[in-house]
Amino acid sequence: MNMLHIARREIKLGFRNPWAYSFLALFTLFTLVLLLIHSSSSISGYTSTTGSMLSLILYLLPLMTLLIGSFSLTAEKEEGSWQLLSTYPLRTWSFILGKYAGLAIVLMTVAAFAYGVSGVAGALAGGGFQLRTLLLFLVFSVLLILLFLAVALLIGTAARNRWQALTYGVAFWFFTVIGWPALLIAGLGFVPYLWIKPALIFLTFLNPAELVRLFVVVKLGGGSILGPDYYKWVDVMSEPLGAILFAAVCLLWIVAASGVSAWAWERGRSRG
Amino acid sequence: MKKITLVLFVSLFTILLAAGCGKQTYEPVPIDETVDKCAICNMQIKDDAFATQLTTTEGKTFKFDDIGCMNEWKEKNAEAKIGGEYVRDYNDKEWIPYDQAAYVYDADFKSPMAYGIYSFKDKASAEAFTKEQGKGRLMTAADLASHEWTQNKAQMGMDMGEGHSHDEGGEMDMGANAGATANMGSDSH
Amino acid sequence: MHRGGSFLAIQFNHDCRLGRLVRRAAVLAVCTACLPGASGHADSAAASPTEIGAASLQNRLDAAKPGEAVTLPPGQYAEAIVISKRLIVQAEGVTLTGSGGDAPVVKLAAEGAELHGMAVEKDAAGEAPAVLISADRVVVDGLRIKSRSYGIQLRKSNGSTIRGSVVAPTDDLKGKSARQTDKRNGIDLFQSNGNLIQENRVTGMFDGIYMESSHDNAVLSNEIDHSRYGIHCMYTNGTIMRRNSGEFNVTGIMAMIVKGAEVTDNVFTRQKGSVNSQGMLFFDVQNTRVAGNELTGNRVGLYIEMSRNNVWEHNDVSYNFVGIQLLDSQSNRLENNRFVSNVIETQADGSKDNELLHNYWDAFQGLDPSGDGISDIPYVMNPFFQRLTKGIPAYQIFFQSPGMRFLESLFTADAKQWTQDREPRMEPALSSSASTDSRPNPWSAAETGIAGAALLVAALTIITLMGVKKS
Repeated sequence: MNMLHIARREIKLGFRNPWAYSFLALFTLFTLVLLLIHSSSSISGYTSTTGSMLSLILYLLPLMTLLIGSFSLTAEKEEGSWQLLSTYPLRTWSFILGKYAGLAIVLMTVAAFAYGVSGVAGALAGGGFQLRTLLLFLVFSVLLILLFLAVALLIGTAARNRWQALTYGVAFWFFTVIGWPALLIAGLGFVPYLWIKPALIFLTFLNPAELVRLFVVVKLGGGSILGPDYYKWVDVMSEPLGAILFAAVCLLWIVAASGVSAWAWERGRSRG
Repeated sequence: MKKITLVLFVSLFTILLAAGCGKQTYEPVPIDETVDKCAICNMQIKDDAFATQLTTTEGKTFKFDDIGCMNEWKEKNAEAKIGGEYVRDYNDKEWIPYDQAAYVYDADFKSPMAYGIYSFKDKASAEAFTKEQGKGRLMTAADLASHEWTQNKAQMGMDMGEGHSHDEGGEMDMGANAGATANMGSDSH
Repeated sequence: MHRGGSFLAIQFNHDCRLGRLVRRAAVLAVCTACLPGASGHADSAAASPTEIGAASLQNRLDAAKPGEAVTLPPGQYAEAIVISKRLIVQAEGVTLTGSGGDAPVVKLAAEGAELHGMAVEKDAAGEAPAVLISADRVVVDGLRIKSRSYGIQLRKSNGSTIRGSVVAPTDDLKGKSARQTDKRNGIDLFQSNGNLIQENRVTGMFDGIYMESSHDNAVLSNEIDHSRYGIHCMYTNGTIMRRNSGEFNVTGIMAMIVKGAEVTDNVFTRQKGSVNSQGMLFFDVQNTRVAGNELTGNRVGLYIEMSRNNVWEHNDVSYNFVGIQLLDSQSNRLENNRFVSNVIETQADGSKDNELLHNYWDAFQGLDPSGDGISDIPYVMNPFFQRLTKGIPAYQIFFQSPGMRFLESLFTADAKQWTQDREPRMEPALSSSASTDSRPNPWSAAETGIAGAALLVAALTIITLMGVKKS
C-alpha cells in the first residue's frame, strides 16, 4: 500500500463520482457560451473576453475543487474506509499526497476536456482562442486547481462530515473570490495609509485566487493597468524568472497546506 | 488558537501605537520617470529641476511636474494637512524645503507647464541667475502665496520683434520641454 | 534596432569608404523612391563625388543669390550650415554632422528658404536642435535626422512646411534603458503658427511632435512610435491633427490646455506599456472636435479630464483595458462612439452634465422593445472603482477582480449623479476597421484546434483508462 495505490484509487473513485461529470458539463458549457458570445474575433491579450473568462474560471473552478477535494476526505471518515486504511502499513503522508495527486488528475482532466472542446469548437468556427491564450488559461486553471486542492484537503481534514465541509468550502470560496475586495477595503480602512500597500501585497500572497489571477493578467500583457504601485512586481513577473518565483510561491503554498493536513491526520490517527 | 489571537492583537496594537506617537519627518522621495505623473496635469514627470512634491501627514506623496501644479493642488485640497513640501535647486537638482527656497519668476522662463518659476537653494544663486538672464523677479515662498500664478500662454510671440535679443544663446540648460531660449530668432552660433 | 526602411540609409558606418559608397547608393535609392521630384538632382549629385570637407557647403550657399536653386554635392560633411537667404537647397545624398558642440547643424533663418533631402546628424547632447527654423514660410522636405537632442525646432516660424522627414535619436537613446531626461522632442514648435507638418516619421524621441503656444498648425499623416507622447499640444489654439498614427508611445495625442482643435481619423494602438499610457489624453480642452479616431489595444482608450464643450463622435475605442475615463468634465457631447471588448468600458466621475447619446457599449445589455436600435434603458457608469483608486491607488490591484463587481453592485445609492448614456445603441454605428486585423489567420486557428483536440483526447483517455475501465 503506497501513495500510488491511493492515487489510482482516488482517480477511479473520482470518475465514478457524478459530481465530477456535472462539473465537467457545467464548465465546458460555460466556456463554450463565452466563446460564442465573443466569436467575432480572435481571442488574445487582455480584453473583455479574456477578462470575463478569467472571472468565470474564478467563480467555477475554485468552488468545484474545494467541494470535490474536501468531500473526498470526509467520505473517508464518514464511510469508514479510513479506519480500514489506517490498519495497513500506510504512512499518513503517502495517504494525503496520494489523495492530492489523484484528485488533481481528476480535476485537471475536467479542465483539459473543457479547453479541448473550446479549442476544437473555436477552430471549427474560425475564431476562438489563440494557442498562447488557450495554453495560458489551461495553466491558470491548473494552478487554481493545485492551490485550492491543497486548501480542500485542509477543509476535508478539519470538517467532521460532508455538510461541514460544504459550509467551510463555500465560506472559503466566498471569502477569497467574491468578498475579498470588500473585506480588504473595509479592513484596511482602519490602517494608516502607508501600510495599505504592503498589507495588500502580503494578503494577496495569502489568497490563491488573487495570486493566480494577477499572475495571468500580467502574463496576458495587462500588467500596466495595476498602476504605478505595482510596476516593479509586474516587471519581475513578466520575466522568465517571474514564472519560476511564482511557481516557488505556489509550491510553498501547496506544501504548507498539505503538510498541515497530513500533520492533523497523523495526530488523529495516533489518537485513534 | 487563543494564544495566537492574543499575540496578533498585542503586536498590532504595539505597531499602531508606535506609528501614532512617532515624530514623523517627511523626507523627499526620488522621482521615478517610468511611473511618476503629475497629480494635477497628468504629465509624466521628468527627473529635472522643475519637479516638486509634497507629502501629507497621512503619508501620501504627490508629485508635480511644475511648481504651478503643486500650487493648484494646494488650492484644490485646502483641507489637506501637508507634512513636507519640496522643490528642487535649479542648478544641482537637490531637494529643498518649499519655504526655504528662493524663487525667480519671469513670464519668459520656460517650465513644463509654463508657470515660469524657478527655484534655488539660496538667495545668492537665485540672484546670480537673474543677473545672468538679465530678467526675473526674485521671490520667497511667502511671496509665492500672493503670486498670481499665470501660465505663460505666450501670445508674446506677436509683440516681440525679431530684433529683440537675449545673448544666452544655446548654452543655457533649461532641460524642460522646449528649447534653450525664449527667443531663438537671435540665436548666435 | 532599425525601425523603418528609409531610415536605414543613415545607419551605415561612416568611417568606411566602401560603406560610404553603399550608403550613398542607398540614400539615393531612398530619396528617389520617396521624392518623385528629386531624381533630376540626384543625377547631378552622383556626377560630382566629393571628399569629406573638401569644399565648404557654407561657401557654396554664400555664393548663391537669393531665389536660386543650389544643389549640394553628395558626401559627408562635418560642418554646420546657416541658410540665411531665400535659397532652394537640394541636398540628396548629403550627410551633415555639424562642427561639434551643442549648436544647430542646420539653421534656416531666411523667409522662404527650402531644404530638401539632407541627412542631418547631431551627436552632441544639449538643447540645440539638429535643424533650427527661425524664419517664416520655410520648407524642409525629406530630411533624415538623427539627433542626441531635438530633431527639428521651429521658433517663431509661421507658415512653414515640414514634410516627409524622419527623426530618430542616436542609438544609445533608444530602448527602455534610456533616461527620459536625456531625450528631446522630435519636431518642436514654440510660438510658431500656421505651419504644416505632414507625413513625417518620428521614432524613439521624447515627444514626437511638440507644440507650445503655437496656433493653427496642421499636423497631418505623421507616424510616431516608441516616443513619450506622439503629438503633444500645450496652450495651442486651432490645431488640426488628422490621419496621424502611432504605437508604443506613452500617449498618442496629449492635448493640454487646448482650444478649438480638430482631431480626426487618427489611429493609435498598443500604447499600454507604461502605467500612465493611453490612446489620447485631453486635459483642460475646449471647443474641440474628436472624430473618427481608432484607439485599440491601449491601456486607456480616451482619457478626458477638466474639459468642456467638446465633441467626441464616431470614434472606435476597442480592446483597451479601460475604454474611456471621463473625469470632472462638463458640457461635452459623446455620440455614436463604439466601445468594444474593453476590459472595463468606462471609469467616469464628476461628469454628470454631458450629453452621451447613441454610443455602442458591447458590455451593456440594453433593452429595445420598440425596435429602433436604441436601448430604452440608459447605460449608467458606476464611479465606485474610479473613486476608490483615486483616493488610494494601491487598490488598483482589484482591477477586474471578480469580487469588485460584487462590491460595486452594493454602491448604487447615488446613481442619479452618475454619468450615463441616455440612449445607448443596441448595435455599433460603424463597422470596425480594427476587428479585421485581429482576426486569426487560418494557421493559428488550426494550431489551437490541434491543441484542443490533443487535450480532448488526453482527457478522454484518462477517463476511460483510469476511471471507467475495470482493473
